[in-house]
Amino acid sequence: MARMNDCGQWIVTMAILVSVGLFFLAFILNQATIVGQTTSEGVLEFSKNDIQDLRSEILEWGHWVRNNPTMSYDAGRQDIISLAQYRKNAIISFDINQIAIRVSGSCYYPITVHFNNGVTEYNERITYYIGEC
Amino acid sequence: MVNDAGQFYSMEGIAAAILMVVTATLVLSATTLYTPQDVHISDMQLEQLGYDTLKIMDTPLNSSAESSLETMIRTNDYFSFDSAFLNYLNTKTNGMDTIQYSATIYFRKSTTGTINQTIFYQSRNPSGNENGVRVSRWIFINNTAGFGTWSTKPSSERIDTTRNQTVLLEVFLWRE
Repeated sequence: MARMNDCGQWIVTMAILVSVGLFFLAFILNQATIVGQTTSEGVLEFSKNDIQDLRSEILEWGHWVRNNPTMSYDAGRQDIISLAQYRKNAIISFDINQIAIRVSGSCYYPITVHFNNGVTEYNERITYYIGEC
Repeated sequence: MVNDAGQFYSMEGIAAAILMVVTATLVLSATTLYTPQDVHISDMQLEQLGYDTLKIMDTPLNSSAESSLETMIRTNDYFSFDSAFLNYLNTKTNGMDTIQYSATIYFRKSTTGTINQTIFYQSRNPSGNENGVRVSRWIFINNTAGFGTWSTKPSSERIDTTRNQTVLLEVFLWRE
């Protein structure tokens, strides 16, 4: 044991430091690949486009109801409800109230919208402007 | 002369070996995730592109006008749809993309209450092996302006021509 000394402790200490550092770098690299996947999955899953599309279609019916206040839009509503169940796995309900509400000299149809596709639930009350009154 | 000075080198060697094996395992398990991640990102981009294209075509000049997409569906004008849709989909800053589509219209027959479907147009016959996405758009059909060539379709594939209605245009998109 004549030549034994403790110089080797530095080697072991540095090895531990470097290994901890490399472990964290590898861990970050491992996680980074999952981030892009979950983000794009989240975008695909969330039905932003479905809701925007449904809103614009209901507003088209609101426009039609304003121009034809005595006619019923029940058949059109049934179209949307049936097709959404058949093709989009979504439960949709909406109602265009043809009794206008008056807010400071302007009249609006209140429209309620309910959307649920099992993942996303969305409820809204839209007011459709129909003119001065 | 035999002594124990080499023991430090042995210990360092073992530590380094464990370190390299653990690091290599972590890195290799990370790279195997690259493929599904890339597929999802391009799916997401293609889906958004499809929705945006249909939205562009379904945007009217003003709130009382009919959009060009509504006119095409109402009159069964699939030739105009084909050229406009492919053009919007595939235009790039440099050259053209290679996206193909198959468009189907789903509608409700008010007499029977059933949901029927008809193929509107497809730029190419899908083989079934495409890695594609499905986008859709609600289309408002106004019955006061005529129904074009819908009358040439068989009755089960014909939308109701007696009422205002909403039909669903569903487009399957893939890149060739």
